[in-house]
Amino acid sequence: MTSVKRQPAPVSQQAEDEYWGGSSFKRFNFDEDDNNEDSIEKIQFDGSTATPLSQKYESTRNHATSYGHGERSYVADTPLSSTPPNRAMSARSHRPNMPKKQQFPPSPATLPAANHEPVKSNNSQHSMSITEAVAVHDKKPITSATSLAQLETEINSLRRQLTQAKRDRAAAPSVSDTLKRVMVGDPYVLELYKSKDEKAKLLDSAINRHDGNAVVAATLFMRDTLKRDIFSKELMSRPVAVDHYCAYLREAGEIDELHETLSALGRTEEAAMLKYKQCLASTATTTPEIRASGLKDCIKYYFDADIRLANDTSAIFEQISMMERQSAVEDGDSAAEKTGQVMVFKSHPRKESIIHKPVIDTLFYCCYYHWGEAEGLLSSPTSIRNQHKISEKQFMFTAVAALCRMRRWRDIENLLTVPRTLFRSSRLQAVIGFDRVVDVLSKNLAPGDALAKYCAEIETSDKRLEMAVKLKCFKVAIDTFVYQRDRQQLMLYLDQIPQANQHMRQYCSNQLRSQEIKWKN
Amino acid sequence: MRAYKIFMVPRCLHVCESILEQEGVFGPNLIEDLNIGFIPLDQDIISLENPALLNSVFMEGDFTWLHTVAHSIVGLQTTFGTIPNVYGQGHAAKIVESLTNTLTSELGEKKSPLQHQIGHLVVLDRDVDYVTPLCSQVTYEGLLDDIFEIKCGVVDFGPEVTKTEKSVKTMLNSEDSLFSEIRDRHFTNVFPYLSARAKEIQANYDKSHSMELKDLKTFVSSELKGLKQEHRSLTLHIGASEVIMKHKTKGSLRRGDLQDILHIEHSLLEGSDFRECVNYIEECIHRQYDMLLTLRLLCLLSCTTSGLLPKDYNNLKHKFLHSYGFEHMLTFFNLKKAGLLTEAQTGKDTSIESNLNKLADSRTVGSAVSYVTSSLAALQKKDWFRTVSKKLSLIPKPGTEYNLKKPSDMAYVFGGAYTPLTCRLVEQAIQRQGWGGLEDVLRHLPGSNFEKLEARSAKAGKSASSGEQASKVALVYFIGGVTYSEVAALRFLAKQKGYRILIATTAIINGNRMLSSFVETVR
Repeated sequence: MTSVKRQPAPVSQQAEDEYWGGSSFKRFNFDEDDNNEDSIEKIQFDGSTATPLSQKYESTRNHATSYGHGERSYVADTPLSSTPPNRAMSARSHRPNMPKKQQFPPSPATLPAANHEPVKSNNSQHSMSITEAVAVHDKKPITSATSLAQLETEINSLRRQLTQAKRDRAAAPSVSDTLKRVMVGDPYVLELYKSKDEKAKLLDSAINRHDGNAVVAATLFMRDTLKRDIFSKELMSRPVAVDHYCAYLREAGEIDELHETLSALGRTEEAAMLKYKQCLASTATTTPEIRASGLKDCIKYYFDADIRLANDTSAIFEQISMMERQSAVEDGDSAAEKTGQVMVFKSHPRKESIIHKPVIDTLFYCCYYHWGEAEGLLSSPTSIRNQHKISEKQFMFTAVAALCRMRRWRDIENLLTVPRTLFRSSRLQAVIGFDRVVDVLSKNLAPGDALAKYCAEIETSDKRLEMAVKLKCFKVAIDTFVYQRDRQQLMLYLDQIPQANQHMRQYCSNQLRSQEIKWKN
Repeated sequence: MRAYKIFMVPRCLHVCESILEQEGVFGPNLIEDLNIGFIPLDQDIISLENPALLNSVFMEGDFTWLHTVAHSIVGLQTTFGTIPNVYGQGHAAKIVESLTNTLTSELGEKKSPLQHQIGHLVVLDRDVDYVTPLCSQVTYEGLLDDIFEIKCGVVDFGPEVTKTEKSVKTMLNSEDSLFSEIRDRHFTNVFPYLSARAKEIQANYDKSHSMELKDLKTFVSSELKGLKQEHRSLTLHIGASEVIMKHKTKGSLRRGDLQDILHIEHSLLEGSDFRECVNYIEECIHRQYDMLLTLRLLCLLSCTTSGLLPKDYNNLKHKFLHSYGFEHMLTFFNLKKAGLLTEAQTGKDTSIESNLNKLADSRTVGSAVSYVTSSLAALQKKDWFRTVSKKLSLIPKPGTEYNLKKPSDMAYVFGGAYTPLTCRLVEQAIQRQGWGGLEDVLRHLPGSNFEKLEARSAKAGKSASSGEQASKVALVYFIGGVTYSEVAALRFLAKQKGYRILIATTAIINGNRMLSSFVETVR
């Protein structure tokens, strides 16, 4: 890991500010403050406070609940039994459960967020403390004005408590609490988890809960707030987090980071594939030359180093040489087509460019337009076959189809002929079997006589019969029935020959009457 | 200034929020979650219609979507009561189970006051059984899906079916009584039924010719509309069957005969004629048949033989790249990651390559064996498919005749050649009320298994009558998708054993759709 990429610090700072000053939360606060003031008034007018307080609580609760889903704010579920200061706090604070579920005692080191607070909410602080004061006092009724001084000290002590509480609020809520909020879709803050252990605990708990969303959230939070190598170390020891992080990086298109992570994990094949894909994608609209040089770099930096990728490396080399060939052939042919001198491009206009097409498509193209060219030329089918180690069968399938489309029957015949040797005269032979030859021809819409010629060559009689009947090569079918000495079937077959084809019907009848055949039935 | 609102389906993720925040457009009341949950496709199929889940869970190892799956189960349980018996197989299933429990307690969903109406829940991962979706389907609905592609229960019949210029979109569900009669049949039994039905309708039309005026009036007002509707659907299905027949016997430039393909698939399932199969696949590549078809057979070969021999793997891959483009190196890599197309590890540990592997592995940090790599290892257990299919008797003994007209078991959905593994697991789980006695089999399948039993069926004790009814109702949840063949098999099972089986899934898939989510398309 050489280049250390870090999310700039201001972002998280800003995120924090946005949270604390976030308008969605602020508005919520105002409502709560109104409530508080309402309840104060009630207390003052009534003189009795117990009922209004519970009313207030109810209203807070309802209020919060009704907003709970709409504003993605959370549901206040403070139990009724909690003590009044807590209750007041909960109405104010963003985390109602916090005081009661407090697990991390606040330490001065973890309290920077509190600095934002006091100035902003001075007003509410006052109204709050009064509420609390009254609430606290409702147990021992105020009898006279002499207790005013006493009340003053009480207020002061409560203020201190409140400041303390404010500080508390900057401490992180429990991990399970936060993760619960993530899971059910309530707002949450991760920025309060300052220590590395807390962050790690957050991630581990998220993994244990199998909440993918939380795992990604915790991982990204760690990436933004920890030093690069510490983050890496923490991440690498948690495979599930790695999977999620990689999935995130892929989605977000952070290819370089993903590549670095995969390399660090030793997943070289995946890392190399990633780079290969990136190279293809980024050069999709450029010239073959640019792509070729990109691919060469790709091999140099990512593939060559690992012997296990040898097969893929050689495939990419093939791809490069194929691209070079394609662009040369394409240039030559499009120039030739433009001159209008070359007959073949007039009679069979080129449909699309062969650039970036598979090897076999290119081979087909060259068989179609450049059959019989000397091997020295880039457009020669033979040269493609040799360079890319195209198998005999593959070559046959492609060449027969291309030549059939071009209607070059003589060339097909030559292709399928084994030349005369000292011991044998020349004969027809097909590595792919003549049934395949006939199939390819028929699917490329070859005329009947061409089909019949090769249909007769099909090696096994059953297969020959099947193809002949299917493709309506009557003579071959009749001959095959005769060969199989199957008189019954031949008689039935006579009905399948259309009346219009008198010649064949005659031939069939002649065979049926023939004395020389020893019928088996 | 315009106000915006974003609805996130099914929920807002942390990443979405932080992107909005980074772009500086985050505001109050901006985001709402819109959890659509299940979409009912038929009386017995509910689907999340989220095909992307397959890729993200089983290839990337990203669990984010499983939350949605668990959430949908929680939702079901709130409505129909907590399902007492849960059986699962697979890594994702296990996670879903635990997420469901967490979510239930944290959403504070009240226990439904109703008695539970569903007695069993079977949760299965798709990667437990990749073989089934890789086979060509031969039930009517399966064929429709393979050939015309059914999207959300709707099929688009082109001009070749309608025999007019226009194409017709039709809903395919049990509301169409004709369709519900033929949907799950083996294709050979569809045509005879359709022609019998055509005759019936004709007879009904003819009846009207000889009617008195009064009868004619009632005929027009009551029967005619139904007849017309049936007539319309009959025409469509006959048209579709004809196209299917063409596919079956006539290949094209891009595709071999369906019959040949079926023959190869059956050999692969049986584990016979290995060379013939490899040669056929090679021919598919040589002839540049449809890429997904070739890939499907390749994956089937790999899945049934626990990975290809290195020699075959390299040879076929080399040819494949020539025929379909070098960029499919990426596709091969994806399929390897998902465990669909793998190279078998040879036993010889002395080879240079495996030493290199070891060297590279030892360099990796700590215990960073991710889900992706560990699931791969699970699949590479030697000959797992043979063992499992023998133990669960998924494949009939060669030579036994199968009566497709009157099928006696679920194997009919593949012409009697193969009982879908998932469906057999469901059958066993419900019958045995758990996985007891199947440890031998499950050990060979990827992922772990679990069971949670809260209500043994009424065999021993006498529970409430509603509980007894519920014990006959099972929900089967396929994480990663289900095929129409499996649906048909489960419907058959339900009818045979008197269960009611509901099928929940994350998407309806077939071989092509499943594979295309792994195919890389960079040009």
